[in-house]
Amino acid sequence: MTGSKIVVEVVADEIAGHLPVWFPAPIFDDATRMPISPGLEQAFRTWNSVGADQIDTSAAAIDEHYRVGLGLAYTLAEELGSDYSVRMLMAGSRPGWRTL
Amino acid sequence: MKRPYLATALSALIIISGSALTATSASAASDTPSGAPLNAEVVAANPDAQWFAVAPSGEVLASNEAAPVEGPSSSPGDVATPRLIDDPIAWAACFTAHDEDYPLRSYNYWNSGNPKVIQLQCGYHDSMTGRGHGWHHISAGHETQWRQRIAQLSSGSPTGAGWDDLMSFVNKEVIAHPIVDVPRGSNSTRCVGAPIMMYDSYGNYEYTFYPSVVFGTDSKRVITSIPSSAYTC
Repeated sequence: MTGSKIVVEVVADEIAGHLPVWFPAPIFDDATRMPISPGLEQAFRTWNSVGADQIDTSAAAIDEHYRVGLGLAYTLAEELGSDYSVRMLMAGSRPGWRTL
Repeated sequence: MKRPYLATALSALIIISGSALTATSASAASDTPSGAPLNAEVVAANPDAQWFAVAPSGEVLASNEAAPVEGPSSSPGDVATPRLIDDPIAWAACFTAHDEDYPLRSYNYWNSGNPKVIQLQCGYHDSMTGRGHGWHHISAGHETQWRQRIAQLSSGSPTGAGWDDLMSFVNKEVIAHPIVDVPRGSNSTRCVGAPIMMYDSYGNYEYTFYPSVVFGTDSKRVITSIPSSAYTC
C-alpha cells in the first residue's frame, strides 16, 4: 500500500552507465533533480553497466546481480524517506515488480 | 455507436509527413529548440489532437487520445488497447500466438548511405533474465515512464493513453535521424538518441526529452526504447 506516496521505479536497461532510477514528472531520470546522494547515483549507474554488459546469464549470476540491485533500491528508499515508495523490476528466481 | 476498431485507430493517430505542413513545422521545430509554439497551420490541421510531438527532422506526431479504441475481445485485461497494435492480426500475433518476430513497425537507419530496416517486433520479456526485445520488453520495464511522458503534458491523458504510438514515433525519428549514435561492439547493438519536443493541444511548447533507443545491428530489431531526460547512450 503506497497511498499518495511518490512512486519511484528502479528498472535495469541495456544502456551501460544509464541511471536506472525513474522519478515521476518532471524529474524522471535527471539525476541533477533527484533527492539522491551522488554516491548512490554512481552505484546505480555502475550496477546498470554491469548488467548491460553481463555475459554470464546463469541463474546464480542473475540472482546475485539483482540482489545487489535490490540492496541499492533499499538504500534509495532509506534516503528518500516516507514520502516515497520505491519499487523495482526484478529478474531471476523472484521476478516481477517488488515494492520496498 | 462505436466506430470500427481499425478506422478508429487510424483516425486517432496522425503522423504528418511529406507535406507542406512538414516544411512549416520543421521551421518551427528546428529554429527554436524550445519555447516557441508549434506552427499554427499544424495545430489548425489537427483540431482533435490532444498533444503534439516534434522531432528535429520536423516530423510531427499529432495524437487524439480522446478517441476510444477497443481491442478484440480476446485482448488481455492488463494491456490497455495499444493503438500501435492497430489490427486484429497484429494483436493476435503479439498477445495470443506470442510471435516474438512479428513486425509491428519498420524504421530506416541510414548507415553511411546504406539504409538498414530496423523492426519493432512484438518481442518478448524474459522475467528470469530481465532480457528481451520489442514491444513486450519495452512494456515490461518502461511503459510506465512512456505513459508518464504523456501524462506530464497539461493536455495529455492522465493514464498516458497512446504511449506506444509516441514510443514508435520516437523510434522512427531517433533511428532515422540520430543526434547521438554509439556502437556497442560487445553485443552488436547501437544506441541512438535525439531530442523530442512536446506541445499541448494548442501547440504551446511544454518540454523536451531525449529518448534513447537500442537496436541490434545483426538482428535488425529494436531491443529497448526509453524516454530519458538526457542523452544516455
